[in-house]
Amino acid sequence: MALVRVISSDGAAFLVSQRLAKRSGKLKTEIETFRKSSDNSEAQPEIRIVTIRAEILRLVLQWLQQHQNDPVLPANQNEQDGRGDAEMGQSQWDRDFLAPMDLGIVMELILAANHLEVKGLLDITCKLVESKITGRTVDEIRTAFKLKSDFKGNEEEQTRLENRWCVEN
Amino acid sequence: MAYLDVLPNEVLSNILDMLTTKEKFRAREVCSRWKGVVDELVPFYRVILCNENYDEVAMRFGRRRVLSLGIPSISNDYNKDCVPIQNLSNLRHLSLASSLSVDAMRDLVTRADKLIELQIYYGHCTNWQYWHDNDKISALLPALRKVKKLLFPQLTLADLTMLLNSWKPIIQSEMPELQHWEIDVTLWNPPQFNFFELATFKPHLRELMIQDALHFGGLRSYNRITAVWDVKSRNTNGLRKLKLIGSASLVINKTPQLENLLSNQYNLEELQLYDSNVPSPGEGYTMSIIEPVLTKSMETLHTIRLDIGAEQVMSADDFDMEIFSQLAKLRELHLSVRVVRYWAMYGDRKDVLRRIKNCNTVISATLRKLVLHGFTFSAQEADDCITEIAKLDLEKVELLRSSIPEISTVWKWFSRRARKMGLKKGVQAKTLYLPAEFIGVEFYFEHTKSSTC
Repeated sequence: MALVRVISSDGAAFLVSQRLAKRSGKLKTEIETFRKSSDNSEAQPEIRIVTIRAEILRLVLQWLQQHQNDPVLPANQNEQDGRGDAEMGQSQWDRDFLAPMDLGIVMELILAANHLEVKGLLDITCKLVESKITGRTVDEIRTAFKLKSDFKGNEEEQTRLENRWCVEN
Repeated sequence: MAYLDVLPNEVLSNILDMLTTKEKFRAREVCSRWKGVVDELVPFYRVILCNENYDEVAMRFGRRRVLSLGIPSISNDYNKDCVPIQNLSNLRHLSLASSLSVDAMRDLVTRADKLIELQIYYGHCTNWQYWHDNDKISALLPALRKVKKLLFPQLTLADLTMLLNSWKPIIQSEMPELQHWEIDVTLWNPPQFNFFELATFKPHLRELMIQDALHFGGLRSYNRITAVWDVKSRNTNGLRKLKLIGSASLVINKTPQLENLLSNQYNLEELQLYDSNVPSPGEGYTMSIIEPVLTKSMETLHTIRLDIGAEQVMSADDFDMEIFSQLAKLRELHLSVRVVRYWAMYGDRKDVLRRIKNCNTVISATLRKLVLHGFTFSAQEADDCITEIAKLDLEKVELLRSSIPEISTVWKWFSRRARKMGLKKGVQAKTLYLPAEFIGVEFYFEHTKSSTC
């Protein structure tokens, strides 16, 4: 079985099958680039991911392992296409996978999924964040995501007035 | 650092786009970044204001953000509060057909600081005397500097003259962002204006359409001219698109001007010269006028629609299609012989049929639509033509009011040949209304191979 070494930003190496790695758009491109530039067709590719630390990379590979038999979703697939719908793709395993994570880890996972072009993982993590926004007041959202209002002057009041027709009905 | 601050805008946009509209609006209030992202996501509203339902409109749309605003009719006593849309910051398109003063227009256009398209129904507005007041126009100009697209629909001839006088200098020197200027003139009376002068107007004219004798309410007809200038175009070779439709009185009576216009065109992309109404035998365009244009635009022409004049049909020579085969990018070719409808006026003459030749040479890899009306084929020519058609994925082929004189049951013959060549759609025959001794049958052949594959 052809393998590839994927190395995290903090130096941890993960040996995974190329078949699994190619489910990430980014890793697939890297492997193909390595193949084109390498004289030795048997050589094992080594890919450094300088923006993802080991803990997060392990989670991404764990998710890929679980979903290795799912069809690969194109990065630009529309949600209306059904299979691209985050809810459609979310299994009990996904829910259990995400449940223990705090928001900081989820954010890193979103960034990793976005960087590695893993559409399915990006969908379910974004959906998780969306679920933490829905149904909350503006203040609750700010508290949950540690955001501060940075509106100037009466801009916030103006925005609230603009929204009144929709938000209060 | 706030959690979501680490996410790029495209990912944050994906997340916020999953929210309902109501939740999206709530998210706008969280912080300025979220507001900006949501503003790119939420649906905008196209609003038309008119006096009749003014209060209702104000109530329904007053607090919404507006992308497009139409003001067909509004009080002459316009003041700032008269337009109930308080937030015009997202307005992209403004359509005016009312008697707004320059002050009112300036207020609107200034508030709509993202305005890119301004449409003015010149003839419907009563306060255009303002446009002769230089001070008032000057006051408006700063607000117009950002406009990229300027449209004047439904002009009268008098409007056109005034408009060209008053707006030409503004457009040329005061509207640096303007890329597209379009005028549309409706004429109720026989025009005295030389429309071909429009083609020489600077900045460069990109499209010119002259449409003649459109029927209105079954009683009257009018002429119509549309001209589009690509203001920023660096193409100094003139027009890209030229359409003269049903222009008997406008065009045919001005043949020298037409020839002059056509002879100055290079690199045309679209050429349409055809009649929209019932023609007389003298109408249509001669190949002596058309051929020079084709020669000068061989590398660029992709769409051609032509009515070939009656004298062309009466010619003893076969109509040679080879000139069209030299057009490198030809995608659509529509040729008609106008005389066919008036067949009866030719009495017992049988030499009026114009036989086509080299039709198969036109059917190239770039061609997608081929429509030939009123020509006649030899059996060999038709056979060659079908052979070429069958090789390609053409979107549409129509051979209407055409014939193959040697074969009496032409449509059956054509149908058999088409099926034999593997064409999916066959032949439909229509009853011919012309004297049987001339043609005997009319066939209609439609091939939509690519759409079925």
